[in-house]
Amino acid sequence: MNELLPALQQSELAQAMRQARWLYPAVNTAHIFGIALLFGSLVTLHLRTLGLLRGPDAASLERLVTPVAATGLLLAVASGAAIFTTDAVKYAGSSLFLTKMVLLAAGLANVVWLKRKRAARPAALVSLMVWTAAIICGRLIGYT
Amino acid sequence: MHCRCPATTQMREMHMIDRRTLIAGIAAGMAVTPALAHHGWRWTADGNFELTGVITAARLGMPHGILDVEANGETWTVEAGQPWRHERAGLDEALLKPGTEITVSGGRSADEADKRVKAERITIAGKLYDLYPDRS
Repeated sequence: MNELLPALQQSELAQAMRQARWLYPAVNTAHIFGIALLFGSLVTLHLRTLGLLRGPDAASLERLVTPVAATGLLLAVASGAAIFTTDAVKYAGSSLFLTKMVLLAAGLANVVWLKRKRAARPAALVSLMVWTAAIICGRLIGYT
Repeated sequence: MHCRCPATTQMREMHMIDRRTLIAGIAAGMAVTPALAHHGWRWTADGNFELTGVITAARLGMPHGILDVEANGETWTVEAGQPWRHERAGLDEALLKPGTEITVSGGRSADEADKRVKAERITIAGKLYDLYPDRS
C-alpha cells in the first residue's frame, strides 16, 4: 500500500485528471449520473417492497430496474476510482472515505440478502439506509 | 395488504405520513450539508485577509491547488486555484514550490481555529497574480 498509493497518484490518469480543465468535472458528473441511476432504481424498488409505493409487483419492478442500477453502479465505481487516483494517499487516510467504502461493501453484500427474498422488507430498509449513508459520506469527503 | 375493508383508508393515510417523514428526512439531510461546506466562499469570513509566509508543501491540480504556508511559526492551508486559473492569471505553477515566499490575499476561514485561506490574489517576488479578476 505504501508504494501503491503514491504510484497511483503519479499515474498518467491521475496527472490528466489533475491537469486537464474539463476531465475532472466530467468524471465528477459521471459519478453523479451513476449514483442517480443506482439510487433512483433502488429507492423505487425498495419503496414498492415496503408498500410505500403502489403499482407493479416488486418482482417485475426488480427485473425492470436491475440493469439500470447495475449500469449506474459500474459508472459510479469507474468514475470514483478515477477520482480516487488524483489524491490516493489522502483518500486512503480519510475516515469518511473508509466509512463510505465499508457502506458500499455492506450495500453490495445486502444484494445477496435482497435476492433471497426472505425478510424482504428489512433487507429493503437496510439497503435504503446503507446507500443513503454512503451518499452522505461521499458528499462530505469533498468538504474536508 | 390488499384487503377491501374500511381499514384501507386508514392505511393509505399512514402511507402518506410515512412518505412525508421520508421526504422531511431527506430534506433535513440536504440542509445540513451546505453548513459544512468549504468549497466556494460560504465558509470564509467577510473582509480581506493577508498572509505572508513560505511554502512548505504544494499539492497542485484539480479540483484546486492546496499549499502549506508557514507564517510566524504557524502552518496555514492555502486553497489556491486550478491549473487553468493560475495560467489565466499568468502564474507559472513552477513558482508554487516549497521554499518560495508568498503573500496570499483572500478570505480566511470564519472559524478562528481553522488556519485556512482561500487565495484571491497571490504575490510572489513583488509580482501580483489575480486569480479572480472579476471579483474585487
